[in-house]
Amino acid sequence: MRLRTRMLLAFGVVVLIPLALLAFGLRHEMTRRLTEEYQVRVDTVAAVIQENLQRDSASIRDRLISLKAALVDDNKFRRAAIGGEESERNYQLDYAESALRLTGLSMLQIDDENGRIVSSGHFRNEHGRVESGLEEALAKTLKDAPRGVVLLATRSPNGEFLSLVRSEPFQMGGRTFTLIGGTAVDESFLSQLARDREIVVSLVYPGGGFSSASSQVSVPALEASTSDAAMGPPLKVPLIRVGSAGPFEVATARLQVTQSLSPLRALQRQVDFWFLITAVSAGIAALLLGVWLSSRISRPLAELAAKTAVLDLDRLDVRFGGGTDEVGSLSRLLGDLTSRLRTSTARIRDAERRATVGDLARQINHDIKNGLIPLRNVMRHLEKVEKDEPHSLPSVFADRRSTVDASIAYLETLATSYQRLSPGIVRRDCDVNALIAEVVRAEQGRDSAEFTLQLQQNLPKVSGDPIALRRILENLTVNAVESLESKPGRVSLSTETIERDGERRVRITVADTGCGMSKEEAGRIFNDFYTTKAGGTGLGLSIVRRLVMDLGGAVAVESEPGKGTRFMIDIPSGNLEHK
Amino acid sequence: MRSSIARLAFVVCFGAVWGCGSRTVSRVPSAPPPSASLPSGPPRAPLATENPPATVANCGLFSGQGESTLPISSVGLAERVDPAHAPYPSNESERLLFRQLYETLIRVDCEGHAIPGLAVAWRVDSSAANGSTWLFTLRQNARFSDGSPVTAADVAASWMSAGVGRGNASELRPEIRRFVRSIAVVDERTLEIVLQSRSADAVLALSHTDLAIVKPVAGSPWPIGTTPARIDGPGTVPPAGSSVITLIHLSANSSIQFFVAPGRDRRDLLDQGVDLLLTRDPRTLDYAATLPQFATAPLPWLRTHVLLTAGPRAAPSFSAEERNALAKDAVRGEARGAEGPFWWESLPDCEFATAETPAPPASRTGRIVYDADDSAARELAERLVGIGTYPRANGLSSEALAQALRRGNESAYVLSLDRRPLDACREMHVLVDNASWIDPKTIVPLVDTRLQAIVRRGRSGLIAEWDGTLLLDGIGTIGK
Repeated sequence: MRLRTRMLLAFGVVVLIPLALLAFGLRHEMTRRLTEEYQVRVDTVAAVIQENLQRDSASIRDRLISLKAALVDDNKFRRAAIGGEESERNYQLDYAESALRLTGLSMLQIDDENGRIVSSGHFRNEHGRVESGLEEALAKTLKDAPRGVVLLATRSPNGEFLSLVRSEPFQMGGRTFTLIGGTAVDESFLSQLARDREIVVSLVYPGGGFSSASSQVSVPALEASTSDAAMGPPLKVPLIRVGSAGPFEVATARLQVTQSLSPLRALQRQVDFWFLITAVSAGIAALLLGVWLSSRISRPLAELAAKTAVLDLDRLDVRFGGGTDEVGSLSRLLGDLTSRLRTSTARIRDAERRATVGDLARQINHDIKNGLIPLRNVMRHLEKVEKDEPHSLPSVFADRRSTVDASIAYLETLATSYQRLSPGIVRRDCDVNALIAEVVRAEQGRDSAEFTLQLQQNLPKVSGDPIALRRILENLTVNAVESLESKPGRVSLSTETIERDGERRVRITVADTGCGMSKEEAGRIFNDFYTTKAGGTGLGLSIVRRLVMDLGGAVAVESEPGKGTRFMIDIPSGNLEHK
Repeated sequence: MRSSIARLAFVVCFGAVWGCGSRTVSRVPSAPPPSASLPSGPPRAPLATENPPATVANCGLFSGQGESTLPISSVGLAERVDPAHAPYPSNESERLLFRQLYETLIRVDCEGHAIPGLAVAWRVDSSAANGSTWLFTLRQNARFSDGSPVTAADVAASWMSAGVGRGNASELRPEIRRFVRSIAVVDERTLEIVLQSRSADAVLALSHTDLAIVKPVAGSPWPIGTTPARIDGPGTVPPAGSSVITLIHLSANSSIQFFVAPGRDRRDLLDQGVDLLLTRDPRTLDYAATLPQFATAPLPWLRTHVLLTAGPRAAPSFSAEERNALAKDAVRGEARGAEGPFWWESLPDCEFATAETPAPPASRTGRIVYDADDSAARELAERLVGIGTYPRANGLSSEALAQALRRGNESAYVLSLDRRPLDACREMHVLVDNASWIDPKTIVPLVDTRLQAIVRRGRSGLIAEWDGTLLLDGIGTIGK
């Protein structure tokens, strides 16, 4: 996993997890407190509603008592109801309606002892209808009702409505009449009880129901609506209505106070929404911060790694930058290390050079001695023959002449070989491709080697000694051909332009399909006098390495036993004197 | 279709207005009796004469015999007045006002006599074989209220569609076609009119308000009529609320103010000082009886509230006693048990086939409906619910009731019908054309109702016509 990815994940975890915990905690606490508050609220409203119903019932009773007093004193009503006086009949029929308006009730009727409606305020033309058993049912239910809260299903021209009712019997002319009056219990009544639009008061009873928010509510609908609501204790109220069989029956209506939790749900959705917004914002901020920080950290490291990758004993000219941070310190350390390596390498090379010179001197001494020994032996032989057999001197000299010539030739060869150890450099622009072509032309037809050229067009010229370059190419080409060991094989030469450390270079590659060598051998082939060839001097590749370094270039070798060897020489292009 | 529904709503609405009121007058306090008791029998045989009587002998109300009287100068109107309805009234207030502005070719007095209106003479064209072609002669000096002469062509144009700005000018308007087959201009003062009916008294139908002669005026909501009266400031539209419309009496050089106060307590109008108020509101009548400056007189029994039953359920029947009980116990305001004979029970040879009408769809509501503005209809419907005939009752607007009647999907309807229409066929056409399921045989009469006129003492000059319209003295007789 890359450093940048790790940093992004770390930022995400560090930012988002605390945020999520905060949101969850807030949401949970808010839900708990509001739910408790709602519950307290509906419980309070339910208690207040119970008191209000009791108070309303008492108020209805007081109004009926007042009305009863006025009615008993009303002679016109007495003449109509008791005396049957036709001229006052309309007065009797309209009496309850007028009284209804005066008392502010919603239903009012006067029944006689037979349950016959004598006058009705809410349904004027209902007079004469018999509602037998209503007074008894009402009286009994009111007696049993703990707070005098009783509902009555009341007929009207437009249908049935519920009323909170009380009754008051009175005597007139030896007859018993009953005043039944009440307040309509409908949506508006429940709304007044609720006093708050967020509070819903529902009244359900067998076969119907309504609420302060809806004209129709059924028991399943009420239960469904309370599934996500704070619900107060149900208030059970007796309901008197005409039963399916005819007489009045008492059912139970349920008054339920609820407060929907939808505001809480909406609040939760808002919290969720803002948490999401915050999380996304924090995530984006963490992403940007992570990208910025990782870039600040990983880029110098990557640059450091790239510079370190090219470090080599032959490439110790890499410059490491500085800085105030840790990466800068590391970069400085690497720079110091490279500097020390350069110093050490120079010392090592100087030591190597000294050792080489010593070795060379001993070798020259040895080689010259080897060349001189036959000559001294011949000279000692000729001296003895001159002394002992002077007449045979010419013949002996003739016999030993070949030895002298061979020794002299050996010494000359030796001199030529040593002369090659210190070639002179004359710099000028050289066409590498042309030099390669000349070398290959000279070597073609030799043994069974097959030459392959891949020369880059418009190859930039290099600044150097063309003789040195030729010697490099000749050495490498001859070695490649010889590595084939007279077997069929291929020798490939190619040129190309490369960029290295911001510098354009010409790369010359000489590859063969010859015998190859081991890594150990490959590590020593540039040493002086190291050779794997019979009769080799061991100076060819040593000279090649020095010539290449004199040109400011680098040489590398890749080889595998049995498969071949590849030499790569990188030489700076252009005029070196201008650098 | 919209026009038909509006027409039916018009009929229903008239009943609603007639039924407005809430309490029976138990006893009308002593007051000067009307100078003539108004007959209520069927219309007399029409006059087909070249010289009909020019005046009405026994139709005056509060003629003020032996007293020094003044003409009525202010009238209270308790319903909305809309000039867009002119000349076809949609309520009693418009009926009273429009009658002062617009007239028909002939009039029918309170006794059922045909008397001159815009036409001074009429006769059957003996040269025509159909027996239904009549020749009408316009009065010599007939003029519109703007002073322009009234010609036979003006009458024809008024009855054509373009006369009220609609349809093809060459066709008689639908409401005219209920009475008239064709109209032709003979000369400047003579019209040849072919009636739909060959009946000898068919000419009486020409006094119907649908046949009033008017001329639209550019830029004015009020069309002008041929009576010597016009609206002061004809370009103004009275607001929906309370307003005053001033009528200029051209020949008397005086004015009459109509106080329009829809929805307002009618007693306030009396306190405001009006000279005339028509009502059946018992509270207003009770209050007027306590005011010595007012006298009250009943108008004829002009409306009958009936029960129409739709669907397969049989219509309930009510005996005379039961109808009287309904009138006494259920309806507040002046009412009586409906008294026959009823015109729908003896229709003449009308051209509608009730037997072919489709049966109404099965009732879905089970309820009885009525016009919400008709208090008598409401009380009757509620009584029918109270005695258990129907489960519930609901009041509808005039338009909604007309549509419900057309659909026929309610259990029952309480409607108010004209008690003595000038043309029974036309009346039944209006019903059946819009509610084809109605069978005249199933119409159940319930109660009759009537209005009362409250008039300030010392004021006179009211003439009652057959349809119950009151004409202010002088306006209807000018020019004769």
